[in-house]
Parts: sequence; C-alpha cells; structure tokens
Amino acid sequence: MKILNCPLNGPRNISEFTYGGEYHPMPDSMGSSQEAWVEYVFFPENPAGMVTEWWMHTATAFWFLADRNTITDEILRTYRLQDAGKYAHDKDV
Amino acid sequence: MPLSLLRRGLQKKEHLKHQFSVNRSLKKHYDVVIIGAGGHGLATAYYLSRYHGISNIAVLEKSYMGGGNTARNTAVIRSNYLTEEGVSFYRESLKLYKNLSNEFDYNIMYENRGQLTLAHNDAAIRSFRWRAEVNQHLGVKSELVDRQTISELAPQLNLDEEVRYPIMAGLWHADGATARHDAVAWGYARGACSRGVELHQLTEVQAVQVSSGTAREVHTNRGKISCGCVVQAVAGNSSVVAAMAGIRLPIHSYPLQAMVTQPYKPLLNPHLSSPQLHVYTHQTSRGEFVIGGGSDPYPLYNTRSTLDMKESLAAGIVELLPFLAQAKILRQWAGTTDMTPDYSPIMGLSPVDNYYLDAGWGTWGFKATPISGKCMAELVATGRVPDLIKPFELDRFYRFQQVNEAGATAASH
Amino acid sequence: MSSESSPPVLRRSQLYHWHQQQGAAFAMTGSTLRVLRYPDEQAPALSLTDLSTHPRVGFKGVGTRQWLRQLAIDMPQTPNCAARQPDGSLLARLSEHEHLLLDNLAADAPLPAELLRRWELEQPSQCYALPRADSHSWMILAGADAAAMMSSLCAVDLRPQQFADGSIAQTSVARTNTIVIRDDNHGLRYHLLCDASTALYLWNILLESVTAFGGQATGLEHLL
Ligand SMILES: Cc1cc2nc3c(=O)[nH]c(=O)nc-3n(C[C@H](O)[C@H](O)[C@H](O)COP(=O)(O)OP(=O)(O)OC[C@H]3O[C@@H](n4cnc5c(N)ncnc54)[C@H](O)[C@@H]3O)c2cc1C
Repeated sequence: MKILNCPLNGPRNISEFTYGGEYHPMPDSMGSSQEAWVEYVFFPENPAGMVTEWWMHTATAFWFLADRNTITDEILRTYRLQDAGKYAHDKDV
Repeated sequence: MPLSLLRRGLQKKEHLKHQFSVNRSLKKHYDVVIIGAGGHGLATAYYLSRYHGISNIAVLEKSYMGGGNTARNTAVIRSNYLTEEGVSFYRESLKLYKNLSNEFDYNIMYENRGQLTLAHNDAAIRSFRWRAEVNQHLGVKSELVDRQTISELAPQLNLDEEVRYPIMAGLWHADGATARHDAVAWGYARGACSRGVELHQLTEVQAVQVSSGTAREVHTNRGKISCGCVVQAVAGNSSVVAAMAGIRLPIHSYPLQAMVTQPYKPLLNPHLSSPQLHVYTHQTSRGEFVIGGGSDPYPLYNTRSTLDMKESLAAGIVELLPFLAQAKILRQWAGTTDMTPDYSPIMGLSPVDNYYLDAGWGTWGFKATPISGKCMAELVATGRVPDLIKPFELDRFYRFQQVNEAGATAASH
Repeated sequence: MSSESSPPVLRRSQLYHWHQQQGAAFAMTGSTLRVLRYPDEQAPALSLTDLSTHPRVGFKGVGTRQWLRQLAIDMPQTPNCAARQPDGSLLARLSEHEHLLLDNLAADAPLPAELLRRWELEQPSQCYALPRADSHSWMILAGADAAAMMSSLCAVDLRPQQFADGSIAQTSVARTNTIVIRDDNHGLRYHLLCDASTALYLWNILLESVTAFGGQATGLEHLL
C-alpha cells in the first residue's frame, strides 16, 4: 500500500485519503469572467509530472496539499494550505 | 463470417505476409497527420482512405500499434446509454461493429452475448427504468428484467437474499456484445495500409508548431513533418498532446485496471455488471473471466496495477459468482484513461483551425471505435462537423451543455 | 423490564438488539440502559465492551481552547493526544481545535454534563458544542492482547512501545473510520469510536477477532 504523510495525522495508507483535485487559486469572485470560472471548474492542467493537489484525510476530514509526480506516483511532500507559498516554485526536484 | 476465413480453412499451406507497412522513412509532408495508432486513430485513417479518397496520411505511434487502451480494454460494446445524444451515437457504432468482420474480410470475433446490468437498490431500478425508456424510444434493445428472468439469463449468478447487496432487478441489453479488441485495431490498420496510409510506430510526437491559429508542423523523435491537418487520438495522453498545440482540455487521466482468471469451461454467456459492487465480468472465448471495475482513486500516467484494486475486484466478483473465490488470477493490468466531467467524449473542432480532437474516451471508448473513425474521417474530409458528434464539441463546457452519461457509464463501460 | 411505574428508557445503545439477543443483564441509570454482564461471561483476558450510552460531548471552533483554558481544564498540548481529568473523564484533542470529552467507565464523572451546562450558559465565542452521543458509537477493547488483535484490522502501529498511553489515531479499522484512543487503566485499553451507522458492523468484526484471541464481549462490571 502506498503511504501518504498527513500533516495532522502522520503517515497513513493512501486508502485513508480522498483525492480532491488540482490546487489552483480561485478566480476573483467579483471580477472574473464566466470563461475564467469554466476553466477553473472544468479544465485542469492534468500534467504528466509534478502537480500540486488537494487531499483529504477521510477519517478526520482534514484537507491539505501534496506535491506528487503523476508519472512515478512519488509524493514529494505534503503540507498545510498556509505553507502553499513556500513550495510554489520548488516542484522540480 | 468473413469469406477469407473459410478459404484459409480449406487451404493446405498458410502464406504469411506483413499486414501493415513497416520500416518506412517519414515523408516531408502529409495531408493528414494522425497522432496515436490506437483503434480510433487507425479507424480514422481507414475511413479516410477507403471512403474519402484521402490516403496521404501518416499515423504516428510512439509505441507499438494498438498497444494503448485498445489493447487493455475489456471489449464491452453496448449502446444502452442515458442521453439521446449518447444513445444515438453508440447505436450507430454497434451497427458498424456488427458488419465489421465482413467490411474488413477479417475476423474481429464479434460476439453478441447481451449485457445484464444489476440493480441492488431502488435508486438503481429507477434509473434503469429511465434508461430502458430512452433506449427503446431510440430503437435500442433494452428492458428492465426481474429476478426470475435474471436467473434464466445467468443461472450462475448468486441471487441469494442473505448478502449485503441482494440483486433486485436488472437492465437487459440484448444488443450488448464483445469483440477481439486487437483484431479491431489490426483490421483497421490492414485496411488503411493497403490503401496507402503510412503507419509509423516508435514515432513519438513531441511538439506541434502552430502559427496564426493553424498547425503547420509536427515534430517527432524521427524528425519534423509538415501537415495539412492533424487529428489527435491519444486517449490517456490527450491533455499532454493537446498542450503541445496550446489547447487545454477538461480531462483528468486516471488508471483503469482489469484482470483475468484462469480459464474455465464455457459457463457464462452474457456480460454482467454491478455498479453497486464496482465490478463487471464476462467469460472470454478462451474461457477466462475478465474482471473490471471502477477507476483508480486518483490521476496517474502509469500502467502499474495495485493489490488494492485486485482485492476490491475480487471482493465484488465473489459476491456475484461465488465459485470464483477459488479462481487463480492470471494477469492484471491497467490503461491510462482520459476522463471527462460528463463521461462523454470530446470530438470535433478545436481552437486551432486544422487540428481535430478525438479525446475524452475514458473508460468507454472501445465501443465507439468504428463510429468515431467514421465521423472524424468525415470531418477531416469535408470540414463539416457531422451531426452525430456535434453534441460532443469541446465548446460544450463553455456553454454548460454537458452530455451527462455518468450514471450510465461508471463501472459499466 | 419496564412496569407502569418505572421511568421510560430514553437512551439505549445502537447495539441494544445484539445485547438483548445475548440475554444481557441491563442496569438502568436515570433513563439510560447499560449492559452489566452477559450470561456466559468468564472474566476473559481480552474483552470488548459497549460504552455507547456513556456520556460524551465535543467542542470545536477557534475559541475552544481559550474557553477550556478559562475553565482550567487540563488540555493536551498537541492534536491526537488525550489528557485525563481529575474526575476520571478523558479529554481527547482531535485536531487543532476540536476536542472530545469522554466520561469515565463508571459513567459518573461530572465534567461532561458540567461543560455542556457551562457552554449553554456562557455561549463562548467561536466555540461550538458537538453532541456526540448519537453521532458516534463507543466501544472499549481491554487486555494485553489488544494490540496484537488490532494489528490485523488497523494499519496504524498500535503496539504499546509505538503508541503511547494517551495517543490517538483517527484511522481506518476494518475499513471503517474509527477514532482509536489508548487509555491504560488496569492494563492495556483502547477506546474505539465509530460512526453510529457502522456500529453493528464494527462490533461484529471486532468480536470475531476478540474471539479468535480467546476473548469475549463483556458488560461494564468486568471493567470496573
Ligand atoms: C482496463 C480498461 C478497460 C476498458 N474497458 C472498456 C470496455 O469494456 N468498453 C469500452 O468501450 N471501452 C473500454 N475502455 C476504454 C477504451 O479502451 C478506450 O477508450 C479506447 O481504447 C481508446 O482508443 P484510442 O484509440 O483512442 O486510444 P489508445 O488505444 O490508447 O491509443 C492511443 C495511442 O496514442 C499513442 N500516443 C500517445 N501519445 C503519443 C504521442 N505523443 N505521439 C504518438 N503517439 C502517442 C499511444 O501510445 C497509444 O497507442 C477500457 C479501458 C481500460 C484501460
């Protein structure tokens, strides 16, 4: 079983988690066009490589971010939302 | 039955020759460049060359022909979808499939075995009734059946009431079928190559050069080629290839896994599917039970298989066919599937003028191989989007006009 | 069991029918029913006991810790730890802010009711009460073999040398979400809280494992 490290609960089987989609900043709720919303909702990057995504530890409903390689399935790191800025430019390890 | 089969059966000696073009160098220019030699790409080439007189075509394949999802799928062919757009489209594909062996003069082992989808709760029965109504209205054989009929269609099914999810009713689709998936790809490839189409294996598209909204060149690991137009049919890699042309798609690439048991004597005719247990199966002509289910829990560009999925498929299948608890699993595998939000494909025009999309086939695209090839060929040849695929345009997401087949697709393909 | 004059039973466990089928002897405290013992009980070394009718209450919201501090409650310093209170109740910290207070085994600690009363009176800012009596079922697994038994049902290493007294794991036990709290008291013990709708499922699975280790389901008397 693959193991994911939850920032709150520690290392757990990946089956304890729910995948929550790619992490992208939400469009400005007032000024954004319909097209921007459509792309935010429906159009992921779906990259073959590193991606930052939402995950939830199901037993505690705790949401956090993970940097994961979608080719090798390696999880580079997991962290809380407030640390998102810290790793934003550091995904090509 | 294809005539050649009969002829060869009576022949004493077999004369084997290459069925597809091999080891050719790339030309400088092709009128049509098709990316991806899976069933869809090859079918497009076939219909273009056979019915539209266009044969200056290169089909580029990064790996080997038909080795993508075309090789990995569980070969279920059916048209009992939920929306009018979906049913009408897949219905036409079934028609083409029925005659495909004759069309190719090549046996694709089409077996009209029927598909039985199982309801284990009231909500499922309600949606089956709805599907049956829509299907019948559109001329597709589809009906709600009770437990008695189920026991006659599939006497091996466990109809015990003392299980977690007893079987309450079924959706019987007499038109449901299977076919030899590789043979479908080979048949199209053979037919296309014999009409001058070039198939280039081990040729990976790495970039697409677009200027003023038109695709000019396709760059491969074997050099650059100029193109009249491009069709992309790369399934799990749809987002990656489209991005080369600057196009974004509403697609997530998820693995879908399947496995087969050791062979048994023939004992199960129809294809069985249980959306509740996330499992489906049929017995192949080799006697193996091919078992599939739901997608992996998160996206991945990788065809590894997992113990988790094996366990989950096994748990589901022994509920339906308890004797399989003793079965040995021979193989387990995965394909990368291009999943759309509404479980319908993305076909037709793209933001780039001469760049056509055949994508978003997810877990359900094998059955659509003939009709997709036919429609894509018509689009390329005439420049007009055939009515049958208009509802599947990329643009639908901007208009909030999704074609929702989620309920008629998940775990039943 | 109930006559004209006896008070009505307002609170019984989600596992009540199972207990009844085993011929359990019940005790009624106020309007709450609890299992005292089963007829075939033999003081097993490994036991599983239903505590679902024991009082418990949760609080969450960013003001929770400040409010509890004001009340001089002994609070766990980090999430996923539990702290024993002077009256025997146990305060489990489930996340940054969410806390769950479990009564003692005799179900006579004043704190759970007291906290809820204070919360209603004071309406502390950004602190919300979470009634947990109906949302979660509560069981306790007791005995030296408890860790070995759990190892086949739960992927978290719960062995005593890895999972200290007072540790909490919110995880999957037999594929159902469960809160596991180690709370030693006459030997190794784990509280197990699961969604009430999965209680019977989890109970039966646990019991199968308990039986495999030579243990039994017991009533409260065995633990006290
Ligand atoms: C386990 C499994 C079970 C399934 N079961 C069913 C079923 O029962 N019924 C059903 O209808 N559908 C089913 N499907 C879905 C079905 O297999 C696919 O939708 C269908 O085969 C897609 O065909 P295709 O020709 O578009 O793609 P593929 O056959 O995947 O072909 C795409 C080709 O593109 C090539 N390619 C990718 N990138 C590049 C590049 N950059 N350059 C050149 N070539 C490239 C790939 O190597 C590949 O050969 C299943 C899928 C899986 C994985």
